[in-house]
Amino acid sequence: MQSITLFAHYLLWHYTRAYSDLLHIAGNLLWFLYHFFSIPELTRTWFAPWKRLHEEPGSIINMSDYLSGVLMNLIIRVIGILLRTILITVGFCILALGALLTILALIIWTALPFIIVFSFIAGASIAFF
Amino acid sequence: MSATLTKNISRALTAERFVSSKKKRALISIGNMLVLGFAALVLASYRVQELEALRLRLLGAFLMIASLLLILYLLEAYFRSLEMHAVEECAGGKYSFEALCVLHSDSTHSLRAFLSHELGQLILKRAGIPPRNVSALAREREIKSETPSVMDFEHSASRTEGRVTLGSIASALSDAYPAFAQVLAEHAVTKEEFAGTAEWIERERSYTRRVLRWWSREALARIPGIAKDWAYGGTYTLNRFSFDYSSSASLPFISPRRREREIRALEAILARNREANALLIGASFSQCTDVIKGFAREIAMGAIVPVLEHRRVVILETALLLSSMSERAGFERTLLSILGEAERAGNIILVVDNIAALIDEGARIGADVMNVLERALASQHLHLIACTTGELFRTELASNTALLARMQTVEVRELTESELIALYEERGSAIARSERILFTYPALMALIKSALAFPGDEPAEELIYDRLTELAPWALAKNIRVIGRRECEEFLKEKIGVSIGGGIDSAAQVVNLEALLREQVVGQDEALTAVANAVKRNRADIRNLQRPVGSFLFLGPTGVGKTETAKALARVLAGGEDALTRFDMSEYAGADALERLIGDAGTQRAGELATRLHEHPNSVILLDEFEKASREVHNFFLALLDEGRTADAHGKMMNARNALFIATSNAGADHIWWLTGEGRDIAAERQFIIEGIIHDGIFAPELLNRFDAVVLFKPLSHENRVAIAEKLLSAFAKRLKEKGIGLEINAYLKDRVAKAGEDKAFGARPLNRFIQDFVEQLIAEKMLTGELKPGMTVSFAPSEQNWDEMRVQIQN
Repeated sequence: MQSITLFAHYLLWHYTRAYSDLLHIAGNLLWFLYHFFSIPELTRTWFAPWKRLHEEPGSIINMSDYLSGVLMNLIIRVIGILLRTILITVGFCILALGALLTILALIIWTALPFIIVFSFIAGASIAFF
Repeated sequence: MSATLTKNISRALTAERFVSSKKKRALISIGNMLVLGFAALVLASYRVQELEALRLRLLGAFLMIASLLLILYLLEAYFRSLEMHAVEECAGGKYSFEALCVLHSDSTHSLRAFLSHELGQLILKRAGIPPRNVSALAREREIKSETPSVMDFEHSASRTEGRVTLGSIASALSDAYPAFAQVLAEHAVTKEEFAGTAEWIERERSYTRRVLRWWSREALARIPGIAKDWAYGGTYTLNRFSFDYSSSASLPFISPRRREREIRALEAILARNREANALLIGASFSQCTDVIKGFAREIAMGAIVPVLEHRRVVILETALLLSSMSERAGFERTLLSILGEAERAGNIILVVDNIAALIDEGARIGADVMNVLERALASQHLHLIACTTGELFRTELASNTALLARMQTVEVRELTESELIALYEERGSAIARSERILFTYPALMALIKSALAFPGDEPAEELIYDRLTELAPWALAKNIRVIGRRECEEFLKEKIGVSIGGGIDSAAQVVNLEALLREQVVGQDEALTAVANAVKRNRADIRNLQRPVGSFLFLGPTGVGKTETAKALARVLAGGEDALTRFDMSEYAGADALERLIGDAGTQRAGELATRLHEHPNSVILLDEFEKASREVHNFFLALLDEGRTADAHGKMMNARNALFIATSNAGADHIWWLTGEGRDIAAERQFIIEGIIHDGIFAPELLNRFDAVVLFKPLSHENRVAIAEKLLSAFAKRLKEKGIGLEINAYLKDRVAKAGEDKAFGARPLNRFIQDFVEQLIAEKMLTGELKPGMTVSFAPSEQNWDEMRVQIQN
């Protein structure tokens, strides 16, 4: 009797609370990926110079020095933007993959009891018949 | 039991009962092995011809076993989910989940439920009690005789903040079932220790549960992300001389929170707009490190004010920096560069691990470190934490006003006993897991108590850690797998000469103490009984470990046996008179008395008492003529006898908890003489004598109260003096016998010697002098003249004219 109650409770859990548990775990993993790739920090500092590097442009009277300083600072910023863009893109791709895997996991989860029953019957029929 | 269960908790408990975790683990392991085995066979069937015919059947079996294993895994996930939700629900409730698990395993009988549940058995085992013995004993005595259906555990939940936990159940069970309490007592486990063990198991379960939840944000947040520092400046020079505490490996994970006060103080200081600099003062550098680690963890977990979020806690290794730089310019340039990088980077909290060494050692190569630091400390962008010890602060930094003006001090306090227990439960478990041994809770408590009661130079937590680390290999070398209290005490006694039970003495000697003392001290039976009783009280494992082993004040006239009793105590309890150190307190009456005892920070002079206690914490300290010491010295002893420890002038802790203090004094002698003269019993007039001493202002009443016993010594009677004379003459006779000469100790000789001590002012002291001046002298003269030769016996008789005049008689 206890086994039947347990089985019934299990099935109820499998198709109700387990989904929220799975989504909670998936949410945590996606949160981790989001922070692992530093997406909020990189987005906030997208246009900031790379590693705070800064070239003092010098006096505007010496035009060539001034321009080379400005150009250097511009290059430092462009490098920063490029690298951040690459990493943010990679991060979002991985996040999208994670989201896809979550959907796949939910589908497999839904079908899992059937898969178990099917593979058991299939196994038994192959083994014994 | 009055807990009402929600549907979730009820299901979780049913699931918990349905399959015990041991069975579940065993089934899953078997399933895993079978699946792997069949998978291997299926693959092998493609290569091995004999198996080819069986391939389909093997595949079928593999599918069937894999399906069954999958069911087991799903059930495991189901139970875990139920448990997690039930634990979350219980978090705010009156009962902890573990408590409910135990109580619901058998709702008809609480003790049976406890003894049969795997948690109950684990608690017994961890308390050092073999579960089988207890189950059999308690079942026999309790379960058959009475069956109280349910118990109310809520009344015993006061120690766990009103919640019913495994601890409160353990405590309530030992209250409710006397025979069970008896079983605990038979294994020398107190109710508090049993409850503490249960709490330990509960905390461990909670810890394991959190470790298993690898997907929780708390666990995932430990994994450092990439590109976190792209928006911040590079710290190339700093990286060469520093260590990053924010890296995941150095952060403590899930361990119980401690040093909350210091961490919050650091947070408040470092969140300021400018001069965000803190000076951490600990008893040792490791205490400071503990705070820094806790602080770094709070940052990593995001449990910090927004302005400090995402910052790296980087520790500048002073020793490495100083050893790499030998000349001033290079050192100053590097230090400036480090400070500049830390300032510009924008995400650095710089920790200087030993600021005093940095300033001092810098000065040795001519560098003005303060000048370099001062500008950086005033900056808006630098966040700096400097570490130092209390001793270094007093000697090196307290006078550095420039530094203190820019930094706010945070004192690291010692961990409380409960924090120490929580910390060492965790470390004890870790060592036990790696060494495959078992630490019982009473053993852990003995270790903690020993460190608190007999502290060394290091703070208690370091002492415990060292001893815990040493204890495991010690046990393994002796092939001990379960370390109980007895093993722990044996280890402590062997390694550091400390006996938790009673300090410097051994139990057998204490039992016979009175008889042993009486062999050595004559005529003071009441006083010796009082001393022996006080020592027995201390030794019976019930003494307060926060005070010295014993402290006595011996009052009475001169020469009645006070110092002799002290020496006898040293011989019996500490193994010899070498352990006795005599301080003539009449020498500590001047203005510099206290400095002479505990040292002087100004002149760097070490204190005489401080040196003795540092070198020999097991000493017997005799404070002769204690009444003659200055009031300041009396007040110092008032504190020392009360706490058992105090700092010397150099800030080093003087540990007197393993020492025995005996103060002697002639105070009250007049009263004692008068009362004896009146034929009254001084023991009955004790209060009168003590009140007289207080009234005369010789000792303050609070000082008298600090002694374990104030013992009165009465004047010696003629019979006492005769007995002493016999004792002294016997010692002399023994020396003569070594030269082959016999001494006949007749009644006349004893009486004559005893008569020499009739002067009340000097007690028994003149007896020894008389023996030296007359008896020894006369015998020496006879030996020199050749009248007395080896093989002869000498005796004394009165001369015919005068009884007092002694005549030497020699027999062949």
